[in-house]
Amino acid sequence: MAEDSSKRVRWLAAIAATALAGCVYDSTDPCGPNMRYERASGVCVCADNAVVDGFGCTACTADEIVVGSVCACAPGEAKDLRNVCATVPGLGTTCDAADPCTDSTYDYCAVRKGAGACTERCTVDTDCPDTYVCAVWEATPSCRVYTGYGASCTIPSDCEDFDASSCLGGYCVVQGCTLGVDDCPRDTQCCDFSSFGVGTVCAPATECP
Amino acid sequence: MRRFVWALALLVPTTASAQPGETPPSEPAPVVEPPPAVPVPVVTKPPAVASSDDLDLATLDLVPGKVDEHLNIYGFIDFGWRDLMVPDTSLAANYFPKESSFFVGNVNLYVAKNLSSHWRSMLEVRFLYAPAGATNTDGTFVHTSAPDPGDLQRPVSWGSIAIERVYLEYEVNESLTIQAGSFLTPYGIWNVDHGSPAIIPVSRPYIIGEQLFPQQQTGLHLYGKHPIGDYQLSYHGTLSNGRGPFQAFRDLDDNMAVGGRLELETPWLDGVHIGISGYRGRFTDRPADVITADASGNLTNSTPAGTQYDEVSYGADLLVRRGGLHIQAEVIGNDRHYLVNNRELVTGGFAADGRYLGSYALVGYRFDRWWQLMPFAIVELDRMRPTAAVGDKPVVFQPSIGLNFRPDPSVVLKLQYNRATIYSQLDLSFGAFSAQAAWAF
Repeated sequence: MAEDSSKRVRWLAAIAATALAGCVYDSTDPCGPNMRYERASGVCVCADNAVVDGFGCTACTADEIVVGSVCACAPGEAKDLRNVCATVPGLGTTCDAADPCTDSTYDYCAVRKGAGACTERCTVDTDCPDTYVCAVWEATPSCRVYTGYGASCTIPSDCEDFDASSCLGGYCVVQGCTLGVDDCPRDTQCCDFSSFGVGTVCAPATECP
Repeated sequence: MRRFVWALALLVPTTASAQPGETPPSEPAPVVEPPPAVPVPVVTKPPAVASSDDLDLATLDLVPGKVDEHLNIYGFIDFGWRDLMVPDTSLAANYFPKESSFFVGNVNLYVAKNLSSHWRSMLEVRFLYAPAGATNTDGTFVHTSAPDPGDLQRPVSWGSIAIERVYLEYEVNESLTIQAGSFLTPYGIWNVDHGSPAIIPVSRPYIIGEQLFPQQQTGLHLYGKHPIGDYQLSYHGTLSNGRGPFQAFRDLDDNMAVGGRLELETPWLDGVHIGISGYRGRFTDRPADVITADASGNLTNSTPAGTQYDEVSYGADLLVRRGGLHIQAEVIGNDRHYLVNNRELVTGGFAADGRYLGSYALVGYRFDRWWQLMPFAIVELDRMRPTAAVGDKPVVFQPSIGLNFRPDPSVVLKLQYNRATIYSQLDLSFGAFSAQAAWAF
C-alpha cells in the first residue's frame, strides 16, 4: 500500500516536473533582437540603429540611420538607383560667404549655429529630399534636417552634439520648439508637454497631449 | 515617436482593487484562516465539511453523496474604510486613491447544487460598480449613468458583474474529482477560498494581488486526496486556455496551459500543511483576425501580431496551526519571456522579460475571548520584475499589523496598518490604515 502510494507520488511529481520544466527567462537577455535594456527605466528600447516595428524593433540597413521613428538616409544622402543611400553631390556641403555653394540644385547656403551647409530653397516639405523638412519658419525657407532625431541615448550628453539635443525617454528629441510655428523635423509638430515638466517637444501630431 | 509619448505618460495604477474609481487587476483580499473563520451558509447545514480543513466557502454545501432538492444560495460581502497616509502631492497618490474613503468591496454570490451523488454544479458571481471610476485615456473618470425608466428618467448608476467561477464536477472517488469549467487556480493557501470573512487581514499580499499565478483558469481541473498513514496527500492538475483577455471563452493562441499542485497535510502540532504549485502557459492579446487577398485574389485569414509571452509560475507554501497560533507563509515566483516581435508596449518602450519573486509570512494568535480577537502581523518582501517608469527590479518591503475579531461566526471585523516601502527610482512609499467588516450569509 505504502509502496503504491510512493509510486503515485513519484508519478505525479514526474508529470509536474515535465510539464513545468524548461526555463523561459534568460536574465542576461531580457529584451528581444535589435533591442537593448534601459536599466534606469526598466524597459526595452530599440538598439542604436533600429526602429519600432509593431511589437518589436527592426534594424536599419547598413546604409541607413534612424531619423525620428524611421530608417532613412543620413543627411546629405539619398537612395540611388540600387536603393542604397549615396551622397547627393552638393547637398550638405559646408559653405560660407567666402566659399559659396556651387551646385545648381543645392545652391543656397543655410547658416545655423554658425555653420553653413548647402541646401535648396523650398516652399513645402515635398520640395525636399526624404527626411528633410522645409523650414518655412525661417526668413528664407530651405530644406533642412535635424541631426540625431530619434537616436538612442542614455545620458544627456549622448545628444548634445545633435540638433535633437535633448535625451528624453531613451531617445534624442527636439525640445524647446515654438508652439504654432512648428519648427520641427519632418512629419512632426511642436507639442506642449508642459504638464509633464518637459516644456515643448517635437512629436508626431497624433502624440501631442 | 509613440514610445516617446509613453515615456511622458503617467503610469496606470497597478495595485487597485475592483472598487469604484479603481482599476481591477483581480480579486479581493488574501490570507486564509482555519475552519472557525468559515461561516455556515443558511440554506443547508454542512455537517461533513464544517469540521474539515476545507477552507472553501463555495464547497460548504457540496457534500459528497448528498443530493440537493433546491439550489443553495449564499455568499459574502465586505465593506471597508481606507486612509492612505501620503501627502496629496506624493507620487504614490498617482497610483493609489489618496482620499480616505468608505468602500463596498466584494459582493459575491454563490449558487451551488449537488445534482446527484457524484455530480455537482457551482457558480460564483461578483457584483461590481465597475467600470464606474475607471480612468479614461484623457484623464477623466468613467461615469456609469443612464436614465432610469422606472423613475421618470432620472439618472441611475449601473454596474457590472464578474463571473468568478462556474463549473460542473464529477467525483469519481475521494482520489479523483474531475472539474470542467472556469475555476480558481489551485495554488498556495488562499486562492480557492477567497471569501473575505475567511481571510485574516484586510488587504492581500502583493504576490497574490499581482496574480503571479492566474487567479482563474478555464478548462479541466482534476483533484483528489490520498491518505498515507497519518498524512494526507492532495493533488491538483489543470489544463486550461491559459491567461488571456478572454480566457473564459477563447484561447487566442491555441496553446494550452498546464499546472499542478501537491499538498501534504501532516499531523504535526495541530496540523501542518506544506504545498508546492506550478503553472506554465502562454498569454496572448492581439487584434482580431484579418482577411487579406494575395496577388491572385485568393482570400486568406491572417493573425495580426500582438502581445504574447510565455510564463512559468512556481510557489511553495506552509501553514502551521498550534492551538490559537496560526503561521502562514508563501513564496511565489513568475518568469515571463516575450516572444519575438510580440513584446508589450509600455511607458517608455517595450516591457522587458523578467522574474517576479515575492513572499509573505503571517503570524497570528486567536484568543477564545474578546470577540475571538486575533492580533496578527505580516511581513512582505518582493522583488518585482522590471517595471516601466519604476525602473529595474523594484523591491517592495511591507510590514503590517492588525486585529481580527469574530463577534459572530458569520461576521468578521478587521483593523490593519501597513507601511509599504518601495525601493525604486520613484518614491512610491506609503502607509495605510484600513478597517473592514466582512460577513457571510
